[in-house]
Amino acid sequence: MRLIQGNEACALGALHAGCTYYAGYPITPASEIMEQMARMLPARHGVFVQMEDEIAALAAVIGASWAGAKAMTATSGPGFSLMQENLGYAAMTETPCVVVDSQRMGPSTGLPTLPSQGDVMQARWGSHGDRPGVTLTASSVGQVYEVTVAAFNISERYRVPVVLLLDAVVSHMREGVELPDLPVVTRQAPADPAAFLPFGGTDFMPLGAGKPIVVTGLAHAASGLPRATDGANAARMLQRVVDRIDAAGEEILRTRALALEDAEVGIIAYGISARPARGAVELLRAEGIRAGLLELETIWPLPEQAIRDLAARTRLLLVPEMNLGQLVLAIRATVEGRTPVLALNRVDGQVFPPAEIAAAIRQAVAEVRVPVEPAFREVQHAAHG
Amino acid sequence: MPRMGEELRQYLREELMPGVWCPGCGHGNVLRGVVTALDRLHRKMDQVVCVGGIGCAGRSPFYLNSSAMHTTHGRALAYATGLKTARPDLTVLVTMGDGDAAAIGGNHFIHACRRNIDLTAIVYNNGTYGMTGGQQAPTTPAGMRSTTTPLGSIEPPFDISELARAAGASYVARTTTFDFEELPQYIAEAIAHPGFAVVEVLTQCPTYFGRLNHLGDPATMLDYERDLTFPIEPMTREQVAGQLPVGRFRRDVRPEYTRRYAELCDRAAAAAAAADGATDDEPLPRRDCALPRDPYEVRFSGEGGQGVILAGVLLADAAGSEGRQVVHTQSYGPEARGGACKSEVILSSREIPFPEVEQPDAVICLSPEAMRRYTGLRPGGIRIVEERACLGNTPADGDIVLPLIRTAVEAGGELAVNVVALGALAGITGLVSREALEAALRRRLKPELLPLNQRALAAGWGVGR
Ligand SMILES: Cc1ncc(C[n+]2csc(CCOP(=O)(O)OP(=O)(O)O)c2C)c(N)n1
Ligand code: SF4
Repeated sequence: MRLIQGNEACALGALHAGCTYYAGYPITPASEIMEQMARMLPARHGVFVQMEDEIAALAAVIGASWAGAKAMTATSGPGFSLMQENLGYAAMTETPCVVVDSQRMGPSTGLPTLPSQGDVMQARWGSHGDRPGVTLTASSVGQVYEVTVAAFNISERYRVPVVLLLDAVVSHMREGVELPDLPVVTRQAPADPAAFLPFGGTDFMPLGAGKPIVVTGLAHAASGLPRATDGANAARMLQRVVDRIDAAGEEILRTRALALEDAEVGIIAYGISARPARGAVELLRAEGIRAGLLELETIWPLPEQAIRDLAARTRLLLVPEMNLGQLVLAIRATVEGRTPVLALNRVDGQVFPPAEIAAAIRQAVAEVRVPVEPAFREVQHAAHG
Repeated sequence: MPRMGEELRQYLREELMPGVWCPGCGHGNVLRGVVTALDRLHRKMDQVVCVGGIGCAGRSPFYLNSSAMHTTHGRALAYATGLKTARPDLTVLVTMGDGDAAAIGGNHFIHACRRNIDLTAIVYNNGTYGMTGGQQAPTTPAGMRSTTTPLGSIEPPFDISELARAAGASYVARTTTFDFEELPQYIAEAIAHPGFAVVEVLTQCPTYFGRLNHLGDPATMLDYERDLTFPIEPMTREQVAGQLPVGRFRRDVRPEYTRRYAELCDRAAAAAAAADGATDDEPLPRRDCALPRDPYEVRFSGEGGQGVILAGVLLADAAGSEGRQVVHTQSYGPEARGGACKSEVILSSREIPFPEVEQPDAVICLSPEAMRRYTGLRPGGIRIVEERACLGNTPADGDIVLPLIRTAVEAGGELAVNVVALGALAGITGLVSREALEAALRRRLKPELLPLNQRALAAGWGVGR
């Protein structure tokens, strides 16, 4: 067992996954990932570059990925905002890469650097246009390691940029962990390089490997050549990358269940808020309320089936988030009114104490009899205290 | 695009031609310079990557038969930096408009110059934003018209070559599409140059800059370029006030980034191989004795510089090595520098659901501010207070007031007050064994700091008893 920090676990996970390239720009609470990479990559003949800003950092990562490297960057809210245009470029060009955003409370410089879960929608929709938006989260140091490896694996297998949302607490927390030897996925070389189409499938050939390859953010053909005026082709190409992620299923949709078998009330949580949610489940069970937790390691795409299954079995669902209600919108849309979905929110940079989540459930259980919308609103406000 | 000889056509991706450029646009002349240079240098196109930004100039990579990256507006150099640092063996050309390079991409431009990374940046300077319809660029000469300066620009323009030189580019040349001999020559020199090379080419945009400023047809615009410039060497024409110098301004050999980085990797690998001999400590036996409460919450508090974070890390590390579940958290941010700060550890025999301390079982206060700020103690818990932290504070009943700083000074330095406090806490509570703490010190501290901290741990253990 080793005592390691969340950010260190992220760097170690990246190295385990085969990351050989890091470009970044410092920002609390993500900087330790960068500092670890600066220490560890050169001795392994990997590349570390400190760029002039986050726009450049992600640009360099994408360039390196097209040179064949498994590449990553890490930042926090202000830098993540700057990366959005190039994140869209990575999606458009089906570039494997990993972007870590250790969330701090915004908007703007906000509360530097208290934790937040405010970048959930930005991770999905922050760049213009539609795109696949694979986003993972973690609530413990051990999970940071595992999810970082998963982020690389997904990004390599499906040729998609993957966002890993951490937060100031998870990044800086230290826990004693065992680092498991997880399987590693690497992008597939084409079976027939001569016939390779860079945007025909998920196989990959880097630039400078004997065949000229064209990469552009313009709508393009499978050959990579621009097709900037052919709307039908553009629609087909976009649908193709979106469908690829939607069809992936289990490997991408990572969830963890706690005491869900007999649960009558469900908590759906992700990231740091899943920790007090675990505590709340214990408190509630001790007083006879059969609570359970569905922890989402993957928030985008949303594990819809798992959420619907839970909704079908429970009297109500509670979604605690350190934002003003982001993922809950998508969860409500998924549940389609089958069961009430309550939001519990904080934007003061404080992690929910377990008792606060337990109290919200207790009160909701007492008050929510008939599932009609106005009642939930009141409960929601009461829960804010 | 001007007609090219057969021998040059192999460098072009003719299936994309005619491309987006207007008839008479100077960008084709620049591209001709690029392929002529590649031909002179006998570069293999499969080892060349051309990276472009967004704009008319940024489209150039499509027309070269090399690998191409057509990126985002202004960021071409940053993409190219990623490619080149990952594959230093490739020849990487970067084609940008003046807006691309000097407005939206200005920051990347000066930093690429400073880094001196072996890229060839070709700036197509037409004094306007061609692709978006002729707006003002940071290079639009004062007084000239654009669609956003209908009365003439009142801003002084950037001198891109001067900017490149000042920012540290090791090769800098400026020429025009009129100077058809210098153009391929400078580009060839730039590609061969082992460092960051900038070739700024004044080029004509007849469609917007020419039309809006009544400069006539493309051929007349070449005369405009000729008249706008004077060659620094050989001085074939007479200089007129206000003319822009053209020529090779700099060609220095300076340490190049990817080579320096490769050396750094070799040094790092050698150091890592040398350190490989250091062995880990023997695993310690599990500490099975029950915690006073399970989970048990500890808070170290003090001011920045007192090593409060490290105290928490050492405790968590030591307890973890004895088989306990541990979580360490710290208060971070501006307040961690100078003001009060805290570092918290939870120890448990089972998985810890919630990682933050809610009501501490043990508190250490090292400064008056911390003592005021971080209140709260679980009934039955203990609070160890440094005697000087009581300045202006009244200790509560049951507080254990100890001379921690004095003890640290006697052990060899006030710096070690955190480890004295840790020793005192462990001595009083028995949370961790002394062997585990000593092993944690060896794992976490630089060897030169070890003797002081070992003395501090022993002394702290003593005062705590
Ligand atoms: C972020 C962003 N802002 C604005 C644009 C619109 N845009 C495209 S090209 C361009 C300027 C082109 O001018 P320049 O770089 O000088 O190249 P030229 O077209 O003259 O060759 C602008 C503003 C864009 N594509 N992206
Ligand atoms: S708009 Fe100007 S710069 Fe663009 S292609 Fe036409 S002439 Fe060239």
